[in-house]
Amino acid sequence: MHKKLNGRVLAGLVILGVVLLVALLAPVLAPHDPYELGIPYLRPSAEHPLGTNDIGQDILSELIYGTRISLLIGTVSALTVTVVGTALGILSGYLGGWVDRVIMQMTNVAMALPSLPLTIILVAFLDASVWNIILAICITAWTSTARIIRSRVQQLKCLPFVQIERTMGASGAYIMLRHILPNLGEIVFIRAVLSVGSAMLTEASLSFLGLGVIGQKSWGGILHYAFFRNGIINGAYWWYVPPILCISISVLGFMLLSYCGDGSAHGRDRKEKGNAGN
Amino acid sequence: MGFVGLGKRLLEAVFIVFCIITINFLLIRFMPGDPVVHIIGEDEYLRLEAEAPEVIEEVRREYGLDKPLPIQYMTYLNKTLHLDFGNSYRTKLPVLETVLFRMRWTLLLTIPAIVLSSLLGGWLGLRAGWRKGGLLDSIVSPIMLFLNTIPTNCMAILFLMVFAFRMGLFPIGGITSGGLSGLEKAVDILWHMALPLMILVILRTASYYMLMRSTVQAIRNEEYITVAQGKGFSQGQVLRRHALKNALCPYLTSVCMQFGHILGGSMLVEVVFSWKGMGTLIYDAVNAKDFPILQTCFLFIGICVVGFNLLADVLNMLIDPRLREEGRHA
Repeated sequence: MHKKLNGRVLAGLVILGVVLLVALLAPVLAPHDPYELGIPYLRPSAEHPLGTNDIGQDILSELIYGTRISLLIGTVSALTVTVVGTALGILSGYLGGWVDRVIMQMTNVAMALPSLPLTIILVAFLDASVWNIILAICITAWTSTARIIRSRVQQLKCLPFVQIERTMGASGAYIMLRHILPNLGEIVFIRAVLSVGSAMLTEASLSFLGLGVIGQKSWGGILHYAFFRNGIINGAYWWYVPPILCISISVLGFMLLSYCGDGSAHGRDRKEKGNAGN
Repeated sequence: MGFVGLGKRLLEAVFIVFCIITINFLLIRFMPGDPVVHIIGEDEYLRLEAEAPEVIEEVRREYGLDKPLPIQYMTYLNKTLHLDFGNSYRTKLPVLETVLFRMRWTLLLTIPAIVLSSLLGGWLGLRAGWRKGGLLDSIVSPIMLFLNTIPTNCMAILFLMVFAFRMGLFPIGGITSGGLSGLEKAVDILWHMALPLMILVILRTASYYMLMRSTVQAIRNEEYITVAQGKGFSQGQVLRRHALKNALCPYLTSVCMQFGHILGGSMLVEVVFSWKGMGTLIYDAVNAKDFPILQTCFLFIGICVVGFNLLADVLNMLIDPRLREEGRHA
């Protein structure tokens, strides 16, 4: 993976490095307290580099603090999705039989559920806490990872080294953990990176619809207020353009990072989706 | 026979709808608090509690809430099958009518978007995938890749700003200016539709382009393409008769399976342009905690998605004679 560090991956790493640094150093970097009230609708100036919003909060500080929640929800969801998807994919691919049938049936159902509406309805019913939002994002997001891992495991299962282990009497659990899992490294990594991107997009959509974590700054949340409190009609470009850029650029960063390796995870993804009729 | 396979898919579709109904049931029952509150709404509950407690008991009996869980579930299923979804908390109107009315506007936006973007994305992707690294591929692919990272709502806001506010080319929102009829009204609706539709088409085209491109790239290396080229067919003939035909099935399946995504995208676009479809309905319902509306929307969106998945199967059978004969999916 390291030898194939091409330009795209490097660009992705730089973007994500900056985002991570901003999230970690938020209290140091932010020029103001993002919750502090001041003079509303100030244009960008030396005091407020990106101006202020409708209740006079400094937008740059809001953005800097917003990095934290967007990144937190993105990574925790992606981690969960990847662990669950990989586990189910390996079990279903390696064991086959009724385990495979049950898991695949579950995947088919979860894939057919409309994901954004389901996420919205779950967050509306549960309270909008960080954990509930993560849960709502995860509930439909694991399917494509599980499918891709499954088809890769099915290929690995037929390779000689696995066959030899089996004839030597190694247990299924041992083979899955010690031999199959390490061989999935790259593909799992790529899926995880892509999952962070899509989880961040979902979080941004949710908080844009006013379903974000209550009382926390997030990029989607800033956009929500910019849009619903007439930032657009008033031409307050400093209010709604920066969060859009932040969301797009970090998602782009994760997409670029996923181009490490030979890109097979992307191709296989689509092929798998195309064969979903199985 | 193909029809057996189709029957199996139909059964699966019914099962998925059934799952959605079950999720809806579980949401109401396992939310904290009295389920009656979630059925008639908090305001109504408090009013009735003060004025007419017997009505609350009546609702409780009607929904079988005084009975054990399995019977509650049967009652709920029965009500859903009879399309009885109760009344909206907010407007007090029957939920079914509201949702169906709004759904028409959403479909008016999404179906043309799917048709246009799958044609455009498919055509471009076919060309770009066929000549990997060619002029089209190297210009269009990075653009499409970038478009794929832009969130729908962000793009909608930028378009609203530039084309509606700054340039004044399009209305800033709504479905029609009102007071018009006949042809004039249709033109007016089209004019209001233009921006939301454009955004959906652009974003979906980007994703369909990627799909078609990778499908064609995979097919390009197949032996039958080499054979066809060896037989002396022109590039165009091979592209149309061999590559396109084989790429079409997986492509159409993916396009239809992504109907859920386009509905999600259209929700955000609708909210930005205050297009009074299902997206704005869900948005308003979320803010008012109008659960019956939310659940019914969820159910109907689910039915649409499942319907489109079935459509993919039917289309595949029409295109691919192998599926008709073997009755299984490749």
